[in-house]
Order: sequence, then C-alpha cells, then structure tokens
Amino acid sequence: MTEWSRVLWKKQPYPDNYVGDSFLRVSKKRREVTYGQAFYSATAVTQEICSCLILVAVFCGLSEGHMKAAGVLTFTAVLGVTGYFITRSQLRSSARDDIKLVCFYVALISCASPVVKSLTGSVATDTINACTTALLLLRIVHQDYGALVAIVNPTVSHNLGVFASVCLASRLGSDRDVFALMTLAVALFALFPGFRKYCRTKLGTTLDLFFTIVVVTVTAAGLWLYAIHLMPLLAFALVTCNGIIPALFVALQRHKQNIYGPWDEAQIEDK
Amino acid sequence: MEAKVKKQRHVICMVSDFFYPNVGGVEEHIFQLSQCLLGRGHKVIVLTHVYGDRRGVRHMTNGLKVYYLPIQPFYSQSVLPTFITSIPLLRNIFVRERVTIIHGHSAFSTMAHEAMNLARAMGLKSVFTDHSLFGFADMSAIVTNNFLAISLADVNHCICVSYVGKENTVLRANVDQEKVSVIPNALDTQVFMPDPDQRPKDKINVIVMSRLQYRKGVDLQPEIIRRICSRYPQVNFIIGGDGPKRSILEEVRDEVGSDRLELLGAVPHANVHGVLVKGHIFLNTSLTEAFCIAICEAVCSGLQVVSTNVGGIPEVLPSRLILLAHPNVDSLTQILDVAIQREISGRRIDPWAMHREMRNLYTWPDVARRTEVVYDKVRGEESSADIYQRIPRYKKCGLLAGWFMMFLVTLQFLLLKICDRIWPVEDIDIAPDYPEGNAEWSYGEIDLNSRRHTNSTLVNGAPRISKLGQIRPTARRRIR
Repeated sequence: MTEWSRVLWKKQPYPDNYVGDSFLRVSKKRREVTYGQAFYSATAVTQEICSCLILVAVFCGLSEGHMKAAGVLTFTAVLGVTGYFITRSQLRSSARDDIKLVCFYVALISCASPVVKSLTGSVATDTINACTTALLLLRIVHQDYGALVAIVNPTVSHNLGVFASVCLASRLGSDRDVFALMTLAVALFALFPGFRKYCRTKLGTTLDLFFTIVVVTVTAAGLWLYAIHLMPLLAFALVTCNGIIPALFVALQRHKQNIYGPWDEAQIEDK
Repeated sequence: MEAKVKKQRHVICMVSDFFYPNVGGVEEHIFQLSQCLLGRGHKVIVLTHVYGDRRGVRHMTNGLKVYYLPIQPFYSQSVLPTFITSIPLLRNIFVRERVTIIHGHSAFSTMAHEAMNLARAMGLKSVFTDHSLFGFADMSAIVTNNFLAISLADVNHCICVSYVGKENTVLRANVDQEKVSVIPNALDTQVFMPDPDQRPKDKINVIVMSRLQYRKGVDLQPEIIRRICSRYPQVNFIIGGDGPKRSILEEVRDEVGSDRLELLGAVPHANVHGVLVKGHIFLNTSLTEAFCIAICEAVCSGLQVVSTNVGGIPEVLPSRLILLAHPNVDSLTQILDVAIQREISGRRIDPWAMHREMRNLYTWPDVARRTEVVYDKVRGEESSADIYQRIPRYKKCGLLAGWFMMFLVTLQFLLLKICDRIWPVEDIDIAPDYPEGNAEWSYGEIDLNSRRHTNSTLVNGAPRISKLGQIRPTARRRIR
C-alpha cells in the first residue's frame, strides 16, 4: 500500500476520513511568564500609585501648614531639572523650546492659581475628597504601562490627573500653595511617566528597580510625616500590586493558550 | 476498484441559508452536489429561507425540490437562531419528504445548525459540510467556535474541503477525527477549456480574479503591479472582481495607465472562463483559503498559476502545475518573474497538457460518489432519538454551554412530543417523488443500464463525452 500523503490531487487508496501522520502539526504557543517578570512589570503600576499618593501627601502637608510652598517648589524644581538632564539625550526639542514651555506653564499656573483657589468654595469637602479619589483611581487605570490594551489612553489619564489636582488645590488657603501644588501635579502627571518610560527602556532593570525603591521610600516618608492615616492604603496597594496580582497572573497564564496553524490569515509583512 | 454493492437509496435534505438566487461558492456546491446525487438515483431536497419574493416550493433542474421557508434573514443572509420556533415547520417537511439524512452546509448558516439538531432529535442522521477556515485568536472567532462546538457535539459526520480544513474543524469544534472526511470541492472541467488563440501573441497578460478585499491580499497587488510593469514593458494586468479595496487598484491604474492594467469590475461566473483564456499567467494573492477553486479553474484553462502558499492551497495542485510564493511582495514578484521568464522562453507546460491533467482531478460526480460513501456510513450508525442518550453528548461542551444545551434539548424534546400530539405523523401527507423517468440526466456519471437495475455495477471515473455534450451548467455564480 502506498504511503499516505497530505495532498488532495492524488487518488489515494485510503478512506476519506483517514487520519494521516502529519495531521495536526499545529503549534500551541503560550508565553511563559515567571513571577520575577510579572513583579518587575507591576512596578510601573506601583510608581504610578506612589505618584498619586505623593500628591495627596503634599496636599495634606500644605493644607495643615506643616509644609511651606517654597519647599515644595524647590523639591519639584530640583527633581524636574535632574530628570531633564538625565533624559536630555532622548529629547528631540531644543533646550530653548523647553525653557519657553516651562516659562509658559509657570506663567499659566500662576495666573490660574487665584481662580482655582476659589473654584470649589461652595462644594463640601467630602465631595471633593470622594471626587479626587475616584479621579486618581481612574488615572491609574488608564495610564500607559506598556501593555497594548484598549483601556490605555495616556491623554485621558493625564487629564484625569490634572482634574484631580485642581480639585485638591481648590481647597488650599493661599495662592502660593495652590501654585505649588499645581506645579507639582504637572511634574508628577506630565513629566514623571515619560521619565519612567526612559528608565524602563534605557537604564536597565537594576537601575529601574532601584529607582522604584526610591520612589516608594519617598512616598512612605511623605505619608509618614504629613498623612499618617494613608499609610495602610500604601501598604495595601503595595501588597496587592506587587504580591497578589503578579502571583495570580502567573497562575492564570497557564490556562491561556493560542493555537496557530496553516488556517490563520497570513500577515502582510511591511518593510 | 469496482465493487458490486446493493445501492441504498437515500433521501437527502440539504439545508443552508445560502442558496440560489444568492450567488457564491456554497450555493454552487449545494446545487452541483444535489444534481449529481439525483443522477445517482437518490432523492434530494433543499431547504433555505425566503429570498425577497421567492418563497414556497420550487422545482429546479431534474426535479430538485427547493423549499424557500418563510423565515426572514436576520444578519448577512442568516436567519435568527431561535432553535425552537422552526421545529413544527421543519418536522413537517422531514416527515412529508421521508427524509433520512440532513446535510447542513456552511458554519455561518444558522438554519443548517437548527435543522441538523432537530434531525438528531427525530432520530435521523446528520452530516455537516464546513466550507471555511477560522482562526482562534480574535473575539468573533472565539464566539463562532463555541457555537460550532455546541452544534457539532451531536452530528454524525463532518465533511471538509481540505486537510487544513479538517484540522481546523477538529480543533474548533472538538469533533472526533474519525468523524471528519475530506472531500475536495470540484469544478466543471468541461467549461474551462484552454483557448490559446484568444490571448495576444506579443503581450503577456497576468489575470487576477477575486473579490477585492483584504483577505484576498489585494493590498499586496499595487506594489507587485508597479514592479512588474516597470521591469517588463510587454506584461499587462487584467483584474476581475469588485470589492472594498477597488480604490487602491484604481490608483495604480492611474499611475501605470489603463492599457497596462485593466479593471473589469464584477465578473459573472459564466464569463470567468472568457476572461481567463485571455491571459497567460494567473496570480492569486489570497492570505487565507480553504480550497481555492479559482486556481483550479485557471490551471484547467491552461494558465500558469502563481499563488501564495497559504491554507489549503499547497494540497490542491501538484507542484508542477503551480508556483508557490510567500505572502509578501518580494516573494510574489520574484515567483511571478519566474513565470514570465518561462512564458518568454517558451519553457512553460503546454496548456492542453495542463487541462488533461486537471480534467479528472476534481469532478462533481467524484464528489457525489465520495459523499455517498459518507451517507452509507452514517445510515448504519445508531441514531436513537432517546433523550437519555442525547443529553450526555453535550457534556463535553463545558459547564455553562453544556447545561444550557441540555436544557434546550429537553425543551426541543417536549415540543416535538406536543407536535406529535397536535399533528400526528400519520396525518401528514407524504409528498410524491419526482417521476424517476425524468431524472435521466446524470452528468455522465452512471451508465443508463445501471440506473435501470440498481443491482448492477456503478461506473465511476471518466465522464461519458456523448452525454456531456448536452449538458450546460444552469447555475451562475459571481466571481469570488
């Protein structure tokens, strides 16, 4: 008996429902993910949570008078300038344009500060707190952490963050405090994600992890000093984000598999 | 291999949402297969839904009875899958036509799935033909695959058009491998005769025939046309077909000139051969294809074929009749180059030699004979309508879908019992069969004597030319 071959044009002495050797040469592909990889990817979310908590901590410090606006501005300026020099090689715009942009922002925020200060005078503090919490949570959800999913939308995320900071700033006492908080918010929500991406792609895992630890430490210190009641929240976020969820992801990844075979639509390779 | 067998007469009911006057590959498949089965002495009826004002019962060539059921199409020519509302109507037809086998066509046809399921509930046999390939990755594929798995959990046999299709169906629908037969599509080789006088002597024409859509790789064509046109002044392109990607080809036509690239628009199937014989080379750029009858038609008409190596295409033709390329511009241009060089140097295979090789490769009588083997096999299978035996088959569908189907099957069982009470089987009139004497036309498939004496040997294989002279295909189909 002749050997069976996988062709239709040859008349073969086998029944039509014969199952040949070459049947099902499919490749089942599954991306293996270790706990380490899942943990490392989750640190981006940790940093984002920390940046939101820093904003809240500074707000608490400013509103209760433990913190001076000048201190906050110095802190922001030092970090901003340091970050700028680290990432300078990656930027396409000229230094002149960047300075112009910074001046524009500073002028805009300082002009807007008196308006922002009296913006929510008629609204209850509880409403503002609830609103800010919701907005910051939404910001964390929509932030771009490097995964290609539909929910990611950096523009929406940025706007939500700025809106939340406006809500908070409107409860502050003086124009200068409002100005300081808004400047910090722009730095945290507009510049920090870009810096984080730079760390991820250019500086390597070790430096990035070190950087994450620095951010977490600064956040913890800030909360300890100015908003001790939020410490449990930070602890909960850290445990969930870096402990439970990566473990769950690794456990569930086992069940996810894609089957590829010759029936798949060929992809047009672009050059 | 001739065997003396007592031929069993089946009463087959083809069910699909897709049938004439709709045009397409599935429609043609059902029609041609039905005609050949009629020619082999079986009784065949077709069920489909209404098409505009076409409703009720129609008789087509050789007494092929078509029921256009009064069920409105709901989405892309498929009826709304209600599963239970069509039970009384379908049951009545199955009883009055004394149907023994339900043969559903196309995974997209909800009516076919409903009818096959009801057939099992009534203790009849069901066969399903899958015409298409599906991926596994995207959302719509996941949903469709789940429904298919539910539907095929209780089917007697499946038929696929290629080995790739079989693998695909086995994986998608979780069907037993032994229950899937591979029976390729066929074409009417008598229509696709080479006619070398039709093509220009000093030029080389490249023909492309497909619906102009992404799946057919139309996005690859502009760059290929540009490169080939600038390299060979004597090579022209003729593109038949219409679709959403037409505009990108119109752009190229404006670049290279309408004498180099001719766009024909939609070509009715009856005219496809007329276009094919004008060319020397046929180019197929499909990105996925279960069988691809277009390349067979081209080879049969004596054209060199350049095609992408995707899906079932490498199984269809022996390597000497086809040039395969990877689905990208570089590879396709390179292989098209080879074909053009062969054409210029005269090293190509003679068109008539190609036609002779194709002539007996994929014929409808052969498809019918092989389908008949499937029918004979399922007839012998156990087919209890007992609900205790049916329900466990759905256990493999998973927890949620499985239980849901168990519920539906139970409901179906109850409705059938109610139907039995209101319209008892004895009270349903039996439809008279189409007079057998009129169904002499047999596609050259069966010797006239063998039809008179059902005990005698069947002759399969080479068509009888004298008979075929009288046959003209009545079916028309648009170009895919």
